[in-house]
Amino acid sequence: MIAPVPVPRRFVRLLAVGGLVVATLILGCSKAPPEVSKPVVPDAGAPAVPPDTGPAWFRDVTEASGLRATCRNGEEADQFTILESLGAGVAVFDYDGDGRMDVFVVGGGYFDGPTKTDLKGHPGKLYRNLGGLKFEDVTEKAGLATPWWYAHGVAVADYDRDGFPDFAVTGFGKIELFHNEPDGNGGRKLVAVGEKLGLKDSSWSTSAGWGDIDGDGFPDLYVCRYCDWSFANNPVCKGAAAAVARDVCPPQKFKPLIHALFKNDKGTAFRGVAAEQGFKPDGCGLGVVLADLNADGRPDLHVGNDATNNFLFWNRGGKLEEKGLTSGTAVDDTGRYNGSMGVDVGDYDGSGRPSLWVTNFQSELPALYHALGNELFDHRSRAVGVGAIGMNRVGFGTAFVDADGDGWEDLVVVNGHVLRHPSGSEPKQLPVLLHNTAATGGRFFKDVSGRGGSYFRTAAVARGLAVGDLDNDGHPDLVVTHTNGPVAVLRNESVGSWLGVKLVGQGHRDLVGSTVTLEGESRTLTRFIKGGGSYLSASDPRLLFGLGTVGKVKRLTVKWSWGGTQSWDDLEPGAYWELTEGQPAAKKLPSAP
Amino acid sequence: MRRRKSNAPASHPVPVAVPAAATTSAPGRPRKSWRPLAVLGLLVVAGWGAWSVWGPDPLGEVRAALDRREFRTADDLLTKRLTERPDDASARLLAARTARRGGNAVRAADHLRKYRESHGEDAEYKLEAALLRAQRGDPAEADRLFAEHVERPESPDTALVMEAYLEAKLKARAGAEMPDATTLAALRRAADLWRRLRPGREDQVQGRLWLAMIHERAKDHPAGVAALRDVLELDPDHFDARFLLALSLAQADPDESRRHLEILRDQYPGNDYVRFGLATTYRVLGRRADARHLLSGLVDGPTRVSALVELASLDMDEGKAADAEPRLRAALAVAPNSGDVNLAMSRCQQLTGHPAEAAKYRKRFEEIEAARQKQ
Repeated sequence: MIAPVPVPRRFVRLLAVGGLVVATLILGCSKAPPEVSKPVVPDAGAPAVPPDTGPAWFRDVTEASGLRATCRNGEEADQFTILESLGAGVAVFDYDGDGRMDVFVVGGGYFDGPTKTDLKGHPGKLYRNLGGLKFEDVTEKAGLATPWWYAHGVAVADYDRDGFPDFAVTGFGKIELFHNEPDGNGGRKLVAVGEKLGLKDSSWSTSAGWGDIDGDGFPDLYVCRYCDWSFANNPVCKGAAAAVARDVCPPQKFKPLIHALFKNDKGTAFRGVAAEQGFKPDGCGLGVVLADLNADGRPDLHVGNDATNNFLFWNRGGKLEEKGLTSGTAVDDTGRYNGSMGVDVGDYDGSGRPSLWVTNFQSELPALYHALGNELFDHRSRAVGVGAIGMNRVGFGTAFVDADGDGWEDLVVVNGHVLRHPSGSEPKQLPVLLHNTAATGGRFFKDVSGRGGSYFRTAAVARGLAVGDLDNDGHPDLVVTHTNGPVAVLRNESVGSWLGVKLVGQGHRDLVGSTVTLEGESRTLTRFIKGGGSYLSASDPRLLFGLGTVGKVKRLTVKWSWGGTQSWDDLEPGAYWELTEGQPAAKKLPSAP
Repeated sequence: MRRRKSNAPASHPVPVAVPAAATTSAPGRPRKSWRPLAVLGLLVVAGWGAWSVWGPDPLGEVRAALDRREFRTADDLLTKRLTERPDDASARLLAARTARRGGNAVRAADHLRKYRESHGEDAEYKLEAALLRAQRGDPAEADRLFAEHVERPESPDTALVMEAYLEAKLKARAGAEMPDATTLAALRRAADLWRRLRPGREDQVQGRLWLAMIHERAKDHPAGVAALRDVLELDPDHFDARFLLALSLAQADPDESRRHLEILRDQYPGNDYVRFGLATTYRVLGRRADARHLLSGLVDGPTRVSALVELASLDMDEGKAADAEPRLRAALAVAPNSGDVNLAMSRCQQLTGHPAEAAKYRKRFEEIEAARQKQ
């Protein structure tokens, strides 16, 4: 979340290449000699897209859902700490195994005590999905009504491979791991086991992601850490505008922290291995996604860092090799680092390769790092039309999501400034919905936020975003957190053919790094099993394939992250299928709306 | 007496002194002998006074041009006048003032030197010399002049001082850090005073433009954009305002920025900077073919290097990195120390499978950036 630059630097800098400065331009070219204007040729790059009208893709169902949670940051204490700027995330996962996606919302925190310097946490809230997009607050019932710390993020995985998803919660001064276990009454409860298992962290952690880095079958936990802020290191920073005496400090005022990697010892213990991995304190980490980025089967990592180069760790058999710069994913197309927040991976162009998507600070474009293969990426935000959304937003939660079910993954970005008085922007910002459309020579992202429904027309200070099919209708819904505002539940209103997949590895082995291809009559879709992603949030682990442009499904193939592939033929659309490693027959899951 | 030498514009009230006729008589001389002479003298004096006030003003056209802020036209007229009457002090001083206000400090200094050589360092000279020093980047001089005049709106020099102050502080500091609150307040006051003292349309336009620049310096982006829109409301053909507005909107609303640049492109089809700005905006919007078409016409102009880099970037965006390389080689030949060119070449080498070369150009880019940041 770097400080804003008022004038678009690339535009200006490119002009300056020719030996000019803006002032010269402005003052020197008022009386240009006339010249015959040449006709502009019709554009072959931008696609011919239909008008931005039609039924809304999403409907805000928050009120009716019964999910009433608010993430708070304690800004009312007027401490202006950078801690307040991060916000809190949300997880969509089926904690009780009933086939419906439940929701866990991280509470955030506040400043207490006579000097308002005691950090306290608001409780996280667990909502059980009752079906029909109705939720029940089961926080207490699930054992989560315990003292909380100033918390930010959530990452979900079945760390002990008992078949039920557990989750870790990050924050300032503490990480906690909650084990999902029977409550003795036929239900489930979440039990804090971090201390017992050695998953401890007194640092400042943000996004986290699970994935089996070392290939032992158990998911390890990568934890982004931010910077060395504390009340002992809490400078007063002037506002971006002259009239603002004080505002939240930028991260450049602090030093980055070393990120953490916790090795999972067969679900019985965790051990920090950052030093063994040679991690260095050179990235203010805010977002992480794990997926197989080089098609070698192992989960690699991409880390979005704030005001520092992004990381790309290639997984060399458990040893992580940081190659952000040489891979082309550390910086933007002006050669400079961004203030990166949310991250995701997707095959946006049908190439079968995983491209990276990163949300960034004001004055920067969200970054699409187009996968070229051979462990190389190319910054293509301008080429795919992303620049049209402008650069006055601060992007956080994000996801590749096929919102209209056409088989092409679209993009959702939720936004909101970190400053109370930003220059050239507003604290509350509109979310963005980008439609993945055809264009000459590739794909193009068209801003269709106008089709997003009322939520996309309302500015907010948004942070976390999780995607999940909350009503099991085959169309991905969204859950969005806001700083000091209610969580929003957005139902996907699109219709059309679809196929859902729930993968199960043998012995509930962790799946992150696996790749799934769906061969249809007209094209093949590729999806990646990911850990982490978005910002401080965790999404539905199932895969959804919109079949709008696919035709009949011929075959679905899973390339397991630990090696080997397995295919299932002729899966019937309109249902979720459980595909278990080693079992030739797919299991159609009962409909649980 | 003719109009005073200062270049107070016609829109500003100018005191005009009408010579009084001699009415007293000298004792001891026959009345009949001096009366006709007195009448004649009175007529001469009255005629001279009337001519002075209502007769043709050789600098009137100049002042009219200055009121329209047409400094080049004024300069041409003054050059003609000084060719005919090189010793015309008013014209010489006005020429210095015109050159300064039009941004030509060297020419202004030359006129001032000639004025001093023939007329010495009188008060008019001293003021103009101080204004020139301020506008040439002497902040202390600018502050002194501002302080001396800001409480004297009635002074015919105040508007000129405010103008010089604004020019000195705004344009000399283009791209610099945000001014402190005191300077910002002074800038706002100077702009307000200017707008109050100079009601003419062109001067009002200029005042609003300064206000926009002050808002931008204060990082009050919405106010800056609003002020630029105000300028265009008064003068839709104002190049600077529309260009600045396009720049200001490039981040928040690149599509509106495009519309302004397209208007400028249509108005100034030969302006390479406008076409280049429009091309980069097209690229931001993903309109690659439009960008390519514009850039192709710019590779021989003053934006040659930038155009080559953008064209190469388009090539690379479209997966044609091999096409980009010769463009970038050409750009490097012209601008080997350009960070952008080296960065683009690094990208090109990476995409064409030469990582070691890519690293070399990347390193060069980083060196250039580091040096730039040190400056």
